[in-house]
Amino acid sequence: MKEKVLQRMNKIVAALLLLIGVVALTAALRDLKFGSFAKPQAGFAPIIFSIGLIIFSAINLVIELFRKNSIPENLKHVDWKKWFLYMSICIAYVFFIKKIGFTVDTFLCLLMMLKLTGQRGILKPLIISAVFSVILWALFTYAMNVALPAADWF
Amino acid sequence: MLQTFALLGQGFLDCLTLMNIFCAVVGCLLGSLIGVLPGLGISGTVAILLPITYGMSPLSALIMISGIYFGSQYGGAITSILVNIPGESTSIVTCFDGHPLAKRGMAGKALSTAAISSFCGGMIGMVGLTFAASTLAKVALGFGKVEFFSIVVFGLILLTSISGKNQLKGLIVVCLGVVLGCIGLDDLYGTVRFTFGIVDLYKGISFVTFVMGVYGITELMGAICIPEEQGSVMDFRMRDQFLNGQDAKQIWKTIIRSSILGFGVGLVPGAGSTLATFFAYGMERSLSKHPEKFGTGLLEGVAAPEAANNAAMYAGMVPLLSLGLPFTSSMALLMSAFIIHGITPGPLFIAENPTLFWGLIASMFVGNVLLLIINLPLVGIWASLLKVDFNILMPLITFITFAGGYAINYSVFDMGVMVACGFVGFFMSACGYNMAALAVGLFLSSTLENSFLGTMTLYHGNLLAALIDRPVAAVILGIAVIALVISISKSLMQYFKKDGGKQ
Repeated sequence: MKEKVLQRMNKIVAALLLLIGVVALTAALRDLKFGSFAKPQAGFAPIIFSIGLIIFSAINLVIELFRKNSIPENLKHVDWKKWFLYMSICIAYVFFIKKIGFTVDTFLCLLMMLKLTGQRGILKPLIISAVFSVILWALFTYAMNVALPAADWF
Repeated sequence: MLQTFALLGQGFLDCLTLMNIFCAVVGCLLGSLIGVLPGLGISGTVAILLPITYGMSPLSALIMISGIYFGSQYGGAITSILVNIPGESTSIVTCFDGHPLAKRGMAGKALSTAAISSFCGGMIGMVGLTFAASTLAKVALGFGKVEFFSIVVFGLILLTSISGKNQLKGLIVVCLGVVLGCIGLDDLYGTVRFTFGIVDLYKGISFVTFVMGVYGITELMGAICIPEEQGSVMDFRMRDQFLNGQDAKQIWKTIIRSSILGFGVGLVPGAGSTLATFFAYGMERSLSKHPEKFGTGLLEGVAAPEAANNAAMYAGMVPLLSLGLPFTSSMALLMSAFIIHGITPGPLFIAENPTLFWGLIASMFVGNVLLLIINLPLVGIWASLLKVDFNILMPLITFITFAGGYAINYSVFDMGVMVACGFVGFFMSACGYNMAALAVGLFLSSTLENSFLGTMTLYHGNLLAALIDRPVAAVILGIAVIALVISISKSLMQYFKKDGGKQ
């Protein structure tokens, strides 16, 4: 019973978050000029579509409130610990890339991600991470002429 | 007609250089290589591999992108047949009969059927594309802002009505996509919108970055965080691979029918290749003398969806090349790739860039032939790739995606946008929101806004007067409104009829 209530709450929370997000987004438009139908200004289209978005999201929330279906099937099987760690590694990767440079950052984050996906031992993930980060760097730098981020201190 | 053939011939001359053939081969190989991995769809594959084409000449880049696009499509069929996991949504139907065939030791024949059907579907689709795109482009030269506004609205409404299960959620994501597309400097007035003081947002959200996030990162996140058994790969022998006369006799009619149907379905904005595969399979089953055998391992069951999805993909290029309006996420991505290389598809594209257009058509032909030549002998290698540990592959692809995302604008901020889009996309797609509608909404946002504002200014705010003045636009918009009303009333009827809202 408790699980069912929680499952239902999940969808309601998702719909509510969407509505809040949309309202917050629309609030950012308050300084824009709407103009008139004959002389529309920069705020014309975003305001119309944001209002549509608020109306549809509100209807969606009402429907979710009266629905009794469960949590989405796809989310039932997610390994949330892995998901959290995967997201954390991705965020850390983006955050540190300018500080420690592409190659070192890729090496470290890939090593962590390989451990996250269940690679045993340390030697194999270490070799894969080192070789792959150097190959990727060389591929982008020399084959595609892309200057990848270098470390601040480099 | 003769002029068309002359231009096509010139296209072949431009396309058949050593460099371009090399690009086509590499594109087909890479597309198949990534496409064979379950979890990565066509859009994800093209987005991940797009940076490879930077620095190439426009024609070579287009040739490689086409190779990647069609290669990834074929890669999906391999996974469907050998592992029973569809690599893409367009390969779901291929699983129905493809995998039972593999279980019966006929994997080679199923793969050959898929390759040959894709080839034939592609060829028929290409003939349709050649004539439909050039004809529509000529017609579209007379189109103004009102018509473009109507076509975009029509496409977006059909996209939400046809492809999604929930129309309301479809409308939400389309509006959200359009609003997200408004981020940055406004095209007409130069006003900054939705930037929250972040300078990196002034140029808006890069579409390719967005797709890399909502398709690439989301799919990789799913592959890593949702524990699924890596399916066992069916063994097969190369000598069993070839079709005999009896097999060919069995499938040729299916291929032709499904290709024509697929092309027709693919022309409907938003319908896409996936729907074409279901229609073609359904049609073949209803026409068959043994409909009960479908699903147990029939070659027709593999030929129908594979021919239909390839033909539908070419049909999807008709509005892209002639109007500059993509109506599926993969087409929008393809258009972004064109824009990155300085090519803007639209009514004037064919007239102003005949070399590129006919070169592209010719390159698709070459790519199709190459796919058939390359993939049949290499299918054993692709199959062995499925035995590689995905726990190693997926992290590697994650970092290739990041590097590719950075390479678009040399921006670390874009990498952050990718992570954010991946995070949002993961939950939204799990909650049943149609990500394709979101992507297409984002992509068409500026076209929609500019054509809408242009119409309103031109007709002094009187949309009705605009529609009376431009009857073609009125008809298109009328059909869109009817489609919307039908789809909403259908959903409401289902909602109240089924269980009174207690789904």
